Amino acid sequence: MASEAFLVGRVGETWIGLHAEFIEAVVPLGDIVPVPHAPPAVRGLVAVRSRLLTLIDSAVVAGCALDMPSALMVIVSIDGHAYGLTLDQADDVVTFDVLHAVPAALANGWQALADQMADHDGRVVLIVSPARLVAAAQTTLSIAA
Amino acid sequence: MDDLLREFVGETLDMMEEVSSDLVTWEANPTDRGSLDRIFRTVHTAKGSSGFFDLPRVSAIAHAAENVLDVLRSRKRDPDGKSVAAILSAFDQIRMLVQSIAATGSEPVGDDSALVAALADNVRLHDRAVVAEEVAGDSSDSIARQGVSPIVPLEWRSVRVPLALLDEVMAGFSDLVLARNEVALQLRARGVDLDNMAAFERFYALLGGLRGSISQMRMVPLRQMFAPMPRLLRQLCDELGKKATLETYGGEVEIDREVIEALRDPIVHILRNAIGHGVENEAARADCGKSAEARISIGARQSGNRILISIEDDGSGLNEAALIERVVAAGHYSHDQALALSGAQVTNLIFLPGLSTASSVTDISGRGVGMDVVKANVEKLGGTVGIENRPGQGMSVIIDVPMTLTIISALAIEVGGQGFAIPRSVVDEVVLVSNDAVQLIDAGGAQMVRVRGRMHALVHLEALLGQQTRFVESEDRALILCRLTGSRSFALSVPDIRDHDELVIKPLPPMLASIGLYNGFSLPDSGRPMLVLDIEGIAKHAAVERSGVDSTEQVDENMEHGRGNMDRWLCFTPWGRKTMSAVPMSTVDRLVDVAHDQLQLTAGRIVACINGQLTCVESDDFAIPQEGSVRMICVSLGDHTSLIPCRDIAHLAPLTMQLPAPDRDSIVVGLAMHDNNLVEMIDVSHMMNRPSAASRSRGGGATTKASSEVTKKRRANG
Repeated sequence: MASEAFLVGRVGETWIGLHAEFIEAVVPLGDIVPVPHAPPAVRGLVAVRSRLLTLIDSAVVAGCALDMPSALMVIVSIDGHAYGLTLDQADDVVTFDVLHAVPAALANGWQALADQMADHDGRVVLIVSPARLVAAAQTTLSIAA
Repeated sequence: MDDLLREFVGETLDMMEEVSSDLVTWEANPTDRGSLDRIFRTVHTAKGSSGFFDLPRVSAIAHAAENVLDVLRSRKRDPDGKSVAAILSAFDQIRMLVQSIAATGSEPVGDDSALVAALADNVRLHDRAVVAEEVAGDSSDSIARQGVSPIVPLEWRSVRVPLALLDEVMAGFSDLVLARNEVALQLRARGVDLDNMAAFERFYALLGGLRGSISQMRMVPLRQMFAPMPRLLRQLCDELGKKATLETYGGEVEIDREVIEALRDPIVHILRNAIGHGVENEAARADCGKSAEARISIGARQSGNRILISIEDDGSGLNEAALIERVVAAGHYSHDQALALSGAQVTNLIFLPGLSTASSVTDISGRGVGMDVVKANVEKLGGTVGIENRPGQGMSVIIDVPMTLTIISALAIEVGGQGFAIPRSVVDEVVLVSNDAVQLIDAGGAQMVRVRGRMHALVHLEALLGQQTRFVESEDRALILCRLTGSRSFALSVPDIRDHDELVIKPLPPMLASIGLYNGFSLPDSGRPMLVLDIEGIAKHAAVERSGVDSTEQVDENMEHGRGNMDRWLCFTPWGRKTMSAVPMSTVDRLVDVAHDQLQLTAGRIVACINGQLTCVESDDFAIPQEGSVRMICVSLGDHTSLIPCRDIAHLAPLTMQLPAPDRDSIVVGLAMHDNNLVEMIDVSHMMNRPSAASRSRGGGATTKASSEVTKKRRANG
């Protein structure tokens, strides 16, 4: 576990570590084609290098309000489907020596996404599994105020 | 099982399947040399391959059969019924053995000496000299001796490829097409004029050709599915003591392997039904002046990228009265409702679960797995099943399926700057609103359209997609007449049809598939992702359909009395309740006062007999009073008429739905406010189509109450 690599990035004010094994690339967001009647966490469809991705707004899933829409996305592949997960900032791919259990109840949607955390340069990073984030996107009901 | 043996099993079963139609041709016409040659080659190959493995039984039977065929081939004698029968049983036995090898990895233990002896007898009886020669020498050399090349002929040259690999190539190609689009897009962005670039044009052409070949790889001729049918038919006929001949046509039509796999069981089932239920026994056929042998045909034809497969028989057809009886017995409909159904609606009842019109359960059919399963399987493929019933004359089942599942031909539509695709397969026709044949109708607050006399519910794509709430139809818009399963349809109004495209369809992730409006997405040349609209899903979403048996008429009615539209409603206080209800004025026939002695409780519901006419009373709270009369609203929709007992008729009012009903199954479609009173808006069509009171939990109480009333009444009368 400790040798596993994570992509450290920021969603709103929160730093997260995404399991790197699922991640194919981090790219800037381009054109988004909306999907009418999609769950609120689905921002739409994007085409990246001739692939079709379903773009998931990580901030909506986590339930945190953003001043401006995220400009980056992480491309992940889960169960044969490609998704883009929005990110406000991507920092680095790192390995953590120790993962701690999250000691407190997390706010908003974070509770369903993370149960471990780590220290990265003095910052607390929530460990988030992309598969869980994607699964949670389907059930996220309303857009955060 | 090692790979070699697996190969042998697959190849042998394939070969036997391919040759089974030849067996039937040959059986009917033993002088057909072509069939005989192919049968011989199959047996010869089976014998040769089985020699590599330790399969003594297969080898022995193949060897003996080959001897018989060899005698026949070399025209040392003419084939007769006995030799045909012997060869057929040899085929059966080999197939059984190979299937068992496939299952267990080894040849089962057993004794085929009787079969081998019968085959040998066959040769001996007719040509003692030859047999003597065969027995003396090694018969497997007989071919070489005759100078016939034992090498498998050219037309058989093929390689077996795992289906998964084929799918991989297909997926790879799809990505290649998408990558090409991306390249084109980027080149254009850099100002390259691709239209005049010969190399790029060639690139496009090559990819196009490749797409054709790759699609072809997945295609197999329908002949492959038809091949075992004659034998199946013969078995069925033998079991049931019926006589029938099978005719197949369109075996050359090619169809996606996946589609064929999924169609096999439904078609076998329909064939079983045809023999088991459709075809009469010989005596009955003679009585109707039909030929002793029933004629059954299975055929296919291609229509665009759809394949139409029809299975026809000249039997007794569907017994509609018996069907209605079963449907009522199974609780799908009340007797009145069933009787009110129109011709096509009755025929379509066959697709309801748990029905069988056969009077006895046989081995062949009537096990409760019926046409509902057939329909479900075909619909899974994006196909439809239709029935043409000719009572006393026979029946046709027509299956309409897409030729392939991965590339579809589609109409591209632009809505609010975004592209959507509609599969051509569901499009009946595209007309402009300005066309003279198009008549827009605004009735009951809902919009409909009449195109050449046929009514369609009208659905606006923008409204459906939530881009606009209110909509005014304008002349320059286009109407796409979409075909739904059954004979239903609706018109989808779109701002513009951009073009027509062949699209590689990718499956949607679960979170988008569950929306129910789309069934795939695609990346066309433009590089802008495109969603493929799910027409059935749209119909559901727009509440075009509602009940189990749908027809065009009903679709129109549902739209007319659709949800949430401004309309004039008749407000009243229903019997036994305090809350006001309302029905659309357009459904109200008249008001009647029904005397207590005109009401009767029967089969769990109350009916009124007015001037010799029986009408159902729709109410969960109503009980027949002991005296006096009850005012009722007579509502009608199409052929259905019902009575709603009420305490008090208020007035007519325009109502606007403010809240939809929480329960989709409730007859209340939504809630409105009128003069500070809450009004429940009733969906008349749904109210009439729901099951009878006896089968509803809440109705149970009302029934008991009502029956006690009747008892009291009887007592009072007595």
